[in-house]
Amino acid sequence: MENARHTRREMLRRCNIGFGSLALSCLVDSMSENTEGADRVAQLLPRAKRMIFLFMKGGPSQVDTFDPKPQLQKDHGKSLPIDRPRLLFHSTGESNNKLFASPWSFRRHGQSGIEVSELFPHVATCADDLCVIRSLHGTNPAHGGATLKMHTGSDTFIRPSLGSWLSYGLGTENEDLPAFVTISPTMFHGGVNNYGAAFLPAVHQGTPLGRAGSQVHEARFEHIRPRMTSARQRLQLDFVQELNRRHRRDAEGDSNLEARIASLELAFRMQTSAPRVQDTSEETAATRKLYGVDEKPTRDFGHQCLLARRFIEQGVRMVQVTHQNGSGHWDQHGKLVQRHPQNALEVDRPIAGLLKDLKQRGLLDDTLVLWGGEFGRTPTAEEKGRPIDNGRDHNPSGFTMWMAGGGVKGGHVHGATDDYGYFAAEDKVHIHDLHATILHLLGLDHTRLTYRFGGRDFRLTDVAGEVVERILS
Amino acid sequence: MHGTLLSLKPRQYVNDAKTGKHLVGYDNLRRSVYQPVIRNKVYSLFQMFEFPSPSLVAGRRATTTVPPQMLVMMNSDLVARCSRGMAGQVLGDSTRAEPDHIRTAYETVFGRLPDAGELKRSGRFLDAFVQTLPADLGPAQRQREVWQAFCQALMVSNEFVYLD
Repeated sequence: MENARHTRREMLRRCNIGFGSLALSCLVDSMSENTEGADRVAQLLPRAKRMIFLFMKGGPSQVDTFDPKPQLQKDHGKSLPIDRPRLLFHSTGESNNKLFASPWSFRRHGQSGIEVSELFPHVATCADDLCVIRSLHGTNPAHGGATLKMHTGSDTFIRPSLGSWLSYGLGTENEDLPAFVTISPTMFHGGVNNYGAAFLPAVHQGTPLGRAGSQVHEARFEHIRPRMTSARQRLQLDFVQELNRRHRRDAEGDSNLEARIASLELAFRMQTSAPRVQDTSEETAATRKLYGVDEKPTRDFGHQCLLARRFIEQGVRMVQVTHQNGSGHWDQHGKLVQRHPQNALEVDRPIAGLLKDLKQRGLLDDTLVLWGGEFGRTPTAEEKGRPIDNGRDHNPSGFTMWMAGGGVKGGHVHGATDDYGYFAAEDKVHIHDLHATILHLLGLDHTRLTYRFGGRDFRLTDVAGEVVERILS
Repeated sequence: MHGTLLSLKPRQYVNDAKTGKHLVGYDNLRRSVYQPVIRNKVYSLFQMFEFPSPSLVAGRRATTTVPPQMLVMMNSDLVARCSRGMAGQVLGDSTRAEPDHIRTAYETVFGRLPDAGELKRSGRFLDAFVQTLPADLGPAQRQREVWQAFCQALMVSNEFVYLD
């Protein structure tokens, strides 16, 4: 068997496939047309070149942060006078509909007079840069589905993540770093599917940095130091890639093999580029203070936000930063009064620091920043024994997210919820609309950014989505 | 990633029935299915390769291919240890010639023998790599370094790592 190029597995597979493999090779040919995403996409004039998504895992409460509701404050303890959604997450019967006024007060900020609650004193100083969308709505009341929906446009299936679509549509601006980086992503609620490429070529999947169980403020790419000189390693990798190309000839068209070949090269280059980017020690004391990286409550999220800036500065297309702490994230079914302030404390200064830092570096003009969770929370209280307990349930029917920078109106409020902040009511923005708008801002027409898979063209927005023209600057 | 570093011969199965000892750390040469799963501190190597969250039910492992996984294969202590070990094995019988060592390595990693072209290319790699080593290295050390690099290259390659 001196000449055995084929392994036993391969032989069996070939025999099994038979004529099928002929059809396969045709499919593969047509698939390869799909690989030059950017060329196939109708380009609009981009308003933003890159994006940072500040994901507040668990679902922050809109009526306690960016959507003040005077009527809710007045009617505290009364029953909600409107029908609740038919599908509730914690359905505990008719009694669970007592209005729960926000424990925090709101004030107007900046020239625009945007109202921000006392939970976000630092973000409030950036009010004139914020484009607050108060009328978001989705459908899924559970974390898993809602999180997947926010990231991929689907709450049931495995679909490419927003960042993967951006990578596919726009490519990368820095050959030495991944196009889509996600800093300390969660393993829960879809985990890797929230930054996966699904059927898009595998090179577009998000590259995670920092893992569960390790310290968030120490999140970095690991194993980045080569064990041999660069020249020697290059020699070794050239040999590996030759083996890979030989192997690929027999397994043509598998995007995972292609991705692995590309990934090995990127890893090689990252050994030079990444240590510099992820080393935050060269930042000035003023900058470190801005993000709060040297103080306890803000050091995790501050580090994540600072890394986000350093990566986008180097041409990374999309950086996601996930806020998750050990205590149930923003998911306050109880202990709202204790934990929402703690969560806000952890993110408030880093977020304001990021916005100010981007601005002073002239990056905010073409960087789109998005803040929010997978849904909001109910204006009614979760009842746990006492008439009004200290928590709010999930609420996908109406919630707030805000944008800043790249092509959106600053100091602007779009849409409104009803008098109590339960349902999106005016100028409603569905998650598909949000996605359509994001793609538009980055210069991509969401109806034309498609990928053919399984016999049809797929989009981030499926068959829905309207660009929210009125928030564009 | 579906290949397995630790299944390289000699296979390191769990065989602690004698001592009855529980594993509490990850620093041992066990196959991954025999590693402990500590829910709030999942083995960092597992996390690199998208081990499903042990707190949830997962119908299927995610398939991912990202540069940090390649960095593990290129630079981690674990892979260095495995490739050093394998080089030692391959060179075990020092009376044999270079092509025999290459054949052993191919058989160990890929479960097949190299063809004539592969044999030649492997030889070229070994020759070129040895040129790059510092001159003050002793012959035994040179041989170890070169063969470790060769064995690691095979382990990093798609044919080893990727099952279709």
